[in-house]
Amino acid sequence: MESSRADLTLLHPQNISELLVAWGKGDNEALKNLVTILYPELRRIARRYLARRSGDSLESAALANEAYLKLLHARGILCENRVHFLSLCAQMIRRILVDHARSRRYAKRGGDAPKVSLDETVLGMQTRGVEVLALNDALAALSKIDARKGRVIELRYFGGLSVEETAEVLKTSPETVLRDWKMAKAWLLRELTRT
Amino acid sequence: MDSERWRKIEEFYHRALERPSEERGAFVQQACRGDIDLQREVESLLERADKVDSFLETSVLNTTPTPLKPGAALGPYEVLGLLGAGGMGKVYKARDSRLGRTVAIKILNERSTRLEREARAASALNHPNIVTLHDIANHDGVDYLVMEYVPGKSLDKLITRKGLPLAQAIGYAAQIASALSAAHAANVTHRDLKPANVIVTPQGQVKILDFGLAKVIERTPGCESETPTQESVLTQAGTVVGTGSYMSPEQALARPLDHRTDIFSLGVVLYEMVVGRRPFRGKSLIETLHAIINDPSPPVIEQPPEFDEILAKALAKDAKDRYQDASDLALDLRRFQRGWETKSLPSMGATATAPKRRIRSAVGAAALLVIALGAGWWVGRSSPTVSLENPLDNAQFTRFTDFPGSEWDAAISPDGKFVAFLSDRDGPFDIFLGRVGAGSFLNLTQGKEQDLGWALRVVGFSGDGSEIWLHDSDPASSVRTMPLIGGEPRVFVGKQSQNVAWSRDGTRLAYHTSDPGDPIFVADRTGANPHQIFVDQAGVHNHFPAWSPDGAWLYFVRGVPAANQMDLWRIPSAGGAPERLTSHSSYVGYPTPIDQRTVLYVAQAADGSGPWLWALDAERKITRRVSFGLEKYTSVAASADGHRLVATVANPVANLWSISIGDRVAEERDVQPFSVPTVRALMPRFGAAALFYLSSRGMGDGLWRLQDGKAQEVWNGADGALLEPPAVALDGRRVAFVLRRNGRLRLQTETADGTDAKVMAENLDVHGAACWSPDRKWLTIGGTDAQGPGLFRIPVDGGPPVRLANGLASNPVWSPDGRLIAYAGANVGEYAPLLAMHPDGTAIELPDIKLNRDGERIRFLPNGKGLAFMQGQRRSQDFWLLDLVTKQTRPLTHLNNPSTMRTFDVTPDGKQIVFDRLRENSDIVLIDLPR
Repeated sequence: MESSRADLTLLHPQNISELLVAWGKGDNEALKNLVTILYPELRRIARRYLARRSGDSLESAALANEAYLKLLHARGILCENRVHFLSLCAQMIRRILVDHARSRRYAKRGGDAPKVSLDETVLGMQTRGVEVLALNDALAALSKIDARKGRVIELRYFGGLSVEETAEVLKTSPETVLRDWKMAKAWLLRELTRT
Repeated sequence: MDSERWRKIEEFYHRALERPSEERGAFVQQACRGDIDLQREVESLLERADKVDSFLETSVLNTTPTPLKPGAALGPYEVLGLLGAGGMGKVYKARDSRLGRTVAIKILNERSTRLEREARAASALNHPNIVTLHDIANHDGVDYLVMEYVPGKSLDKLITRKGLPLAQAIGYAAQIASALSAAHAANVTHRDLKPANVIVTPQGQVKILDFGLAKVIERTPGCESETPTQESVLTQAGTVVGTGSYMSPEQALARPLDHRTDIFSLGVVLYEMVVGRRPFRGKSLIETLHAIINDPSPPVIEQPPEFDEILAKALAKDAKDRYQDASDLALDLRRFQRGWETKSLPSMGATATAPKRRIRSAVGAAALLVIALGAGWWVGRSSPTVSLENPLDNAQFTRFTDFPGSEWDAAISPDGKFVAFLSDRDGPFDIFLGRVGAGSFLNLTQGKEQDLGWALRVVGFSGDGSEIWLHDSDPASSVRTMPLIGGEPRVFVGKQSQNVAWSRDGTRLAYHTSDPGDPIFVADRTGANPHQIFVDQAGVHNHFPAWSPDGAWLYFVRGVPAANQMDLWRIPSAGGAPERLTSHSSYVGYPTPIDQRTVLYVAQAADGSGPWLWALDAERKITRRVSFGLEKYTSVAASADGHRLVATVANPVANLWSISIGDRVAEERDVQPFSVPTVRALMPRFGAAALFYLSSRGMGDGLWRLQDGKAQEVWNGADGALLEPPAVALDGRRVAFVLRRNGRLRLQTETADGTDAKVMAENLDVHGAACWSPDRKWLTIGGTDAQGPGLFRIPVDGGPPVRLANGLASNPVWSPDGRLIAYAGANVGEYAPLLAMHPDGTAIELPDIKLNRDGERIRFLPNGKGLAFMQGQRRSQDFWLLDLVTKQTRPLTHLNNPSTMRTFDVTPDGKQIVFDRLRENSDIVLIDLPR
């Protein structure tokens, strides 16, 4: 029954739970609030991972996972909110990675960053993550044509959601998600390797 | 790019992929019919078809942890070396640098969001034959379990091809059974019991590993899935094929599991220990599973027939025929062992030189004979599944109040003669006092106390029974006391003290405050000399302190109330480590010790139903539900001797009422009951000559139709509970309602007789209630599609929904002339604006009217000239009328009633409003336990 309002932040579980429920019902204000609350925390966790690694990718398992477990520790997230929470993390992780990559690029500007062909980057780094900025741009272009396909990529690649979880978030069938996934990947791969 | 073109590209891409790669070019060329741009687009997508599969396939979040080397640090643990690797992950020997002890650390291969919950349940297990789980932790995003380090060998390495000596095998099996029994009592099922999960120490002590973890590790969608199933083993064939041998038939069939699956697995382990090979074997996993499901286990002819009987009962195909409780199996094993060692088994006969081999039919006959003689001391014994007796058996129940209002939070004086409670009999919640047997009640607070909430206990008796203590729901205020006969309450103890409890001898006081972590204090009887015995991390709450009769322990409810994740714990009253006693993780409240080891309390069941009354055996940590039926128990308390209980029992009711629409503002006294032939009735909707409403036969609410004085159920609530009002077409011939199907809310229609059910707009997630267009060609409802939330118009004869408005929109109503749709827009806080539009989606301006966000609160008058709406909260819910010509509003009612009003409709003649009122309808019950 603490009365302090100062720590109504990340670990105030009912707050987040309520917001997730509201967001699940389509309340966009709730989404804004969620991002405000969660983004700094995710970024803080991400910075710790990124600081230890030289690449653009997050090779360690974890980011959303840690944040999620942390909230779970606070025993605040209800089970049915899980995919919504993860889908939110997917958006934020994308933002974090893009921001991180941008800051690295600015840091290198003027230096002699090695030129690597995109084709090599994309196909050679399948397991280590693709060049984030290029992917982000292509994904933005895809979303303009077909918003749902953009979301599928975001949820699956940046959020680590399964096909079923993605279907749950997008309120569609797993079959549709799989079709979207295939088509979106083909489109992105073509965009990223276009000469 | 236009969407039609994009759709074509997508279609041709997928269709091309279905063809062999050499035919794709020709297909695309033909399909594109000379549209070169289109053809090029599709071809460019197909160009890298071989590389697409692996592209982006690994999420940025997925990687496997690399093995740890000796010396590596994992939080406070230093890795000493690898102990082994199993299906779930690698196990390391490690040293806990803080406590200087050796531990085993299991690092899981996969992330599991259920780990925390499941492992927490397992960590509550404290048994000599269960490996203790010390910690569940996460280091750099890697989940790991810290366990007791047990030197020894796993059982699979000890069993030779000839098996183990019988005495040794039975000793191990009895230890395993005892561990299972304790775990099952705590609602933890192992699900993956096998020799590799059993460690035997050099002293012969058995320790079981990985309790409850099988459930965590399996990757199945959804929150509550069963495990490990045939499917999960099949998909992982090659890695865990061996596990199949120990599965129960229900596991092999991928059916739901309960604790009895472990009993079967133990039977298999016991068989293997004695015989040296597994009872069910096949050349492949499929064959093995087939044998488990179909074949009888081969008899163990080398051993006394009584042993076969035990095995047969453990290995029964149908769980109903098995030992129902592992402790019965343990008991039979020990009895058998004693009989065998003393050569006094029945089969050994009087000569004590029993033949080593017997024919099975003779065994069966002998066993039958034993049963017939009533002398069977292990076979055919009926084994009760619940080992905790119901303390309420033979108790006497007496109804103490029969007010129409709600009663909560009843307390009883130490001598059992007075009852204090909260009631809204006189309006706001007040504290009432009643004397047992007297039948009259004194309102002690007379409306002077605001906000007597009920999240915590807020009223009780002092230790000597001379005073009443109370607390309002403001966290900043403190407990106050007042004389039994009433009077000005005065501050009694502590800053922000919340819930006080005196020890049974009246000498000591316990309470918690509202500071972060709800610190618990123990003080003298008067509140003097308080010292803090416990405080939690902020965000975790400790409520409802209650003393054990001997004063040694304080029971309390610990957890996160907002998430309804609480459990019963206890802590020594002198301070120390708290100990968890239950594993509900739901709403838990009002722990009430009635003797040294039995604690009654209220808790919601795992399915969210209740709260019900439960009993805990604090020593064995066994719980059972002790209230039955549909009455909810909202609080419980006991007299000092624990023999007289007082409980608040709720039996929710819902009825229909009516009020006339007139020029005069109607008052509460004008409200008339609107009677229907069912006991329960809510969410009324008129359609021509019929009234439709929700009612239930005890399960979920179904849809009923009242016509010509007869009520008929047209949708059975057992097939899916209705949570929203139905939509009834103007002609009353067809209805639409919202149902949960596969976890989604879907709109369904049927005839007024309950036939010809059809699901509408299969892909639209709907919310709130629907409405028909007057011509019955359309349904309108709020929902969410791929583009997000909106208001939709669904063609009744098929076809995709038409989006009318963007953003959250609920409970639309169509005007009788079909020219107007009114609805509730996105809520801001508790209120949602009233909005309106033409059926083509163009908005219509209305005065600024705020509707309560819950419930369906707008209906047109049948003449279409006015819109009746409901406004306000709780006691001040009233009906208003919006004149659609003048755009003026006026109140229709001035009501005063504490019931919840959900929705209403206007009668077809336009003269009355029929509405529902929902009440908790609680009463206080005295329960006298037999002495």
